[in-house]
Amino acid sequence: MRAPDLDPLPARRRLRFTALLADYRDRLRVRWLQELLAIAGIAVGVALLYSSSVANTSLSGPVRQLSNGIVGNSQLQVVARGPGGLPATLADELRTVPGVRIAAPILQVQANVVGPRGEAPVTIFGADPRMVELKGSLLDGFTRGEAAQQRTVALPEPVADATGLRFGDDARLQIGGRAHTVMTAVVGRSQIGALNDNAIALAPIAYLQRLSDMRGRATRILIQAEPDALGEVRDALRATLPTGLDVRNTDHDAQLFAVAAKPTGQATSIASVVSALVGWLFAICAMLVTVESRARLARDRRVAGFRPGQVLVLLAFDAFVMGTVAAAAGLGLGELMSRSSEGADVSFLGGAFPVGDTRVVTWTSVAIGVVGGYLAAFVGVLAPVWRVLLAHRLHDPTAPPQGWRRSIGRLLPTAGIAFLLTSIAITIAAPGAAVVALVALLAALLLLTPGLLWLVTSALDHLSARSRIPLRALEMAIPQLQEPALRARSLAIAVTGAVAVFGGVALQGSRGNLQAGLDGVSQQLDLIADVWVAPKGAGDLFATIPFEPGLDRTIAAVPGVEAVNRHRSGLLDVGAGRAWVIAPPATTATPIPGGQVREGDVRRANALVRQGGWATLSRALADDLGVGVGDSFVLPAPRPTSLRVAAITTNFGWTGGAIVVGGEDYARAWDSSAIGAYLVRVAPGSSPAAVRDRIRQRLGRRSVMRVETVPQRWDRQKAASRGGLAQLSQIATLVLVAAVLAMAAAMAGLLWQRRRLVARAKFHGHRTGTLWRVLAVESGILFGTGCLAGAAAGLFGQVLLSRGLEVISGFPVVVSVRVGVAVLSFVAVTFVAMLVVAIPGLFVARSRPSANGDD
Amino acid sequence: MRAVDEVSLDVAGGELVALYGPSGSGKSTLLLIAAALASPDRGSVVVDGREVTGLSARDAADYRMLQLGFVPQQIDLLGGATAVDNAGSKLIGMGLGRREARRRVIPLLDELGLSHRLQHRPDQLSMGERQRVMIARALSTDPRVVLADEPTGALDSERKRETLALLQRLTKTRGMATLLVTHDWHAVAYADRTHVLRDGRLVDPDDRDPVLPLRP
Repeated sequence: MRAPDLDPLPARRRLRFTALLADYRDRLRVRWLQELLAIAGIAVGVALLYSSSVANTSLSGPVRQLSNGIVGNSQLQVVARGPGGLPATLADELRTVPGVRIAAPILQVQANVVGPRGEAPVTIFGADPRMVELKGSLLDGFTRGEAAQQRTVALPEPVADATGLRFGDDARLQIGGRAHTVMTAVVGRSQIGALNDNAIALAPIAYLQRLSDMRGRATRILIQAEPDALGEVRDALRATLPTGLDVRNTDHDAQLFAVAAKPTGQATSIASVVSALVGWLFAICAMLVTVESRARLARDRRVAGFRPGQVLVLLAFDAFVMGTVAAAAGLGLGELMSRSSEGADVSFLGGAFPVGDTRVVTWTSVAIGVVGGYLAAFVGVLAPVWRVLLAHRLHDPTAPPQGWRRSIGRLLPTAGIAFLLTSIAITIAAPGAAVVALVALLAALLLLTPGLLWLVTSALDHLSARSRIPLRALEMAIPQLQEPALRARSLAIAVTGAVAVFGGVALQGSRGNLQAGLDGVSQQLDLIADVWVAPKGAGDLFATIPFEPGLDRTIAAVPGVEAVNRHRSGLLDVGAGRAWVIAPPATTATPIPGGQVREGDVRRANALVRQGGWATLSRALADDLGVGVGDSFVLPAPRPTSLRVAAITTNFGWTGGAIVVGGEDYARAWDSSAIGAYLVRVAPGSSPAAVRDRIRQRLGRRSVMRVETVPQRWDRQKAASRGGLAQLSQIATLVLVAAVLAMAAAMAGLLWQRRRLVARAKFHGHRTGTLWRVLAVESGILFGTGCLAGAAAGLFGQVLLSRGLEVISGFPVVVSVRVGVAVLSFVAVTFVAMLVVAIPGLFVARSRPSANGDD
Repeated sequence: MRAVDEVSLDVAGGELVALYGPSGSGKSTLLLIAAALASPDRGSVVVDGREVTGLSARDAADYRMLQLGFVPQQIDLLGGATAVDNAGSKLIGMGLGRREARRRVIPLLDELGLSHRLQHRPDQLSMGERQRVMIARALSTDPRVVLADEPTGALDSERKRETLALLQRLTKTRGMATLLVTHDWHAVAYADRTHVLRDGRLVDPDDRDPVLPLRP
């Protein structure tokens, strides 16, 4: 036969895109399951990265939008420290300061809107006609005349819908201790833009002054200065203003909110880092399943004469396709997660800031997700084959490969233990570096899991050899797990389980610890009374809506009431935060909630606060003011008051920081008789619930006061804090669900490739049932070992994360080891993954017998 | 330990030389060195007057692509690709598109008796047919030298005979220099010359096992 005449080969050119695409398609045909698994792993990571980034931007976005919408072109504001505000006529005086173009007073009041369908807490802004000239979006559609003369309260559409109010309806407006009937106007997105999603309302200042009983008063004055005279105006204002008034930049509220929301953001960020790491490791582990075939492809192509750069392009194309698909799927999934979870619920901050529901999606969030996706894909594809790519010669006959592997085998546990010790050291010495400790712990887990798998298989091998009862399935499964050719994939599955259970247990446990801490402090704060009576509204959970007392006698006359005390509390801008100042009545034995003192003597601190002239500060506030226990500081209240630090505490769950002062000190510093709540003590033998009902009856159905027993109040507080931590729970659950799917899919892929072997075993007389049990035992050992390692590391992760949260955020965290969470996660993930794998396992076990395994 | 030592042999165009030896005798190492996939401590491999042992990674790749056809021991075809696309996969590295690569390898597959199996995937081919696809891939760039590392190791006796006969015929018709590494005595019967390797050294012809197979 003659050799066919072949055309001479053309000169070597670059790889063609169409050829790369066709090549990838051919490879995809046979390993689509593994590829899908890897893409799913990356997509979960991308989704977690994206949704947490959106949650963080959405946290501060609405407050910033609202702040900008109100202040418009103004650059400065004169702010009153106390709830009594400042005289609105001060604006006329300030207008005469050289360099001031516009000075517009604004009154901001917390209220509760009641309609036929329900009630909603809102922040009402009383606008002066001069504010129209500042061109803020809140008054974009209004003229000066409308802003001055209307006798209505304008509600955004979502608030109107929630309360069932329409244009022209009469609404009940509860402000402080009073209620009014007002006419409703409804404004939409076309008038106030994105502010539509905020819990706000709008009224002319004169009208709101009358409704809130603050005639002639404002809470701040917005100043627009000549651009080149800003510094001079600021100095002039500071020089002329009386005590109790501050000059601030107009973005002050947004900055304070950023401080207040920071711990929530940090808690979310830590969870995001954990979930991103877990997601990323899923991707890497999932791709371990394809490493063997990719390494073989790279080696095969280099042997065939592909240049190293061409092999790199070939593999990079794989990574690019996987990264693109995974990033797109991940962004879609992340968007769904973000929409359904609405990020971290910060409604507990509603008493201090006008918090909105707007989701703010920035290009940065998208970029974070996409870059994370591509990074995982490229590292996952290229890192395991770097030796094949970079080696000058593919084969080094002088190298002892087995010896190298043995060295690595010995090095892994040593390095794993070193990482574990590093993690422990960081947790003890620098708990604030929780993320670093967490990464070290994850590294330890990854490095120690192969050793644990070896230990488990050796122990089971030993057991099956010594057992008097024949353990046939175990005897057949162990060699499969010890088979060198399958070791990488087996490890990938075990490590996936380990990482996921670790993430789930650590996140769920630390969330539980944080929740327990918040629940504990709420209970301690509430237990100073049997029944609480406070005005309804966004700030009623913290009793920060001031009102003039006048119901003491009415409540005291109710049968079963032993005593009525006055509780004061309010919000105050201290340093960089908006702090919660609490002043329990002098009759309270322990004004400082139990278990919250972090520095100082609890008993002495309680006595000092009761005595007066002393206060406790939370850690961040003390650091901000640069004071420690025993030091003096000036409380920047309407009437600045010098106090000494009795103790350093947690922040009681209030992210802006907490201060406890005596009742007398509070009244003096605020120069006000207003209070935040009545604390009712029930007579011995009376039921708090019965007394509550009697007080409600006495106050009447239309009362603006909320009357609650401690358990009721505590339930509301727990619900608020659970909302703040909801994202942690969602992430922990998602991580576990993803783990089950990832492990089951990887194992199913592994079993499917075993069909020929099973067919041969059938040929040699093994039964379907036996082979199915073998596959189940094999899956069980892999899942069980991985999940066990993950659960054990997760327990340590709980402590590590809890300590980190306590130090970083100042939250009251109860650091404990939640074994139940670990056991439940271990059992659930192992069991469900085995259940999922049982179906493809049965199909594989039913392969038809064949001598050479061809099926 | 030296895997290969003091080995000197040459293969002319149109000649099939067998290198016989038991497992661990160093024959595969010798083949890897000849393919510029491994570097010797000393010594050289000259192909068409060009020293290939000291080539850079890029030049070594060009040498394997343009001058060499390597038939590995293991049949490793892409499961999702057809026979024709598997045979043309080496040409993708030349920058050729799929269509152009197919056009070049179809006559080759025809010559190897696979014209009726072009669109079949590996799992639809017999072991012998898969091995022939591997040979077609190695020959797709019309190489001057072919290195075959136990190409019949996974085949039954009949397929072995077919494949070896094919390799022998192609060597003659295409004027290639073919070095066949094997530990199968029957394979050496197809070679023009046979060298025996033991413990990394060529065995003196006088010390060789006297029983050599008859030519087929």
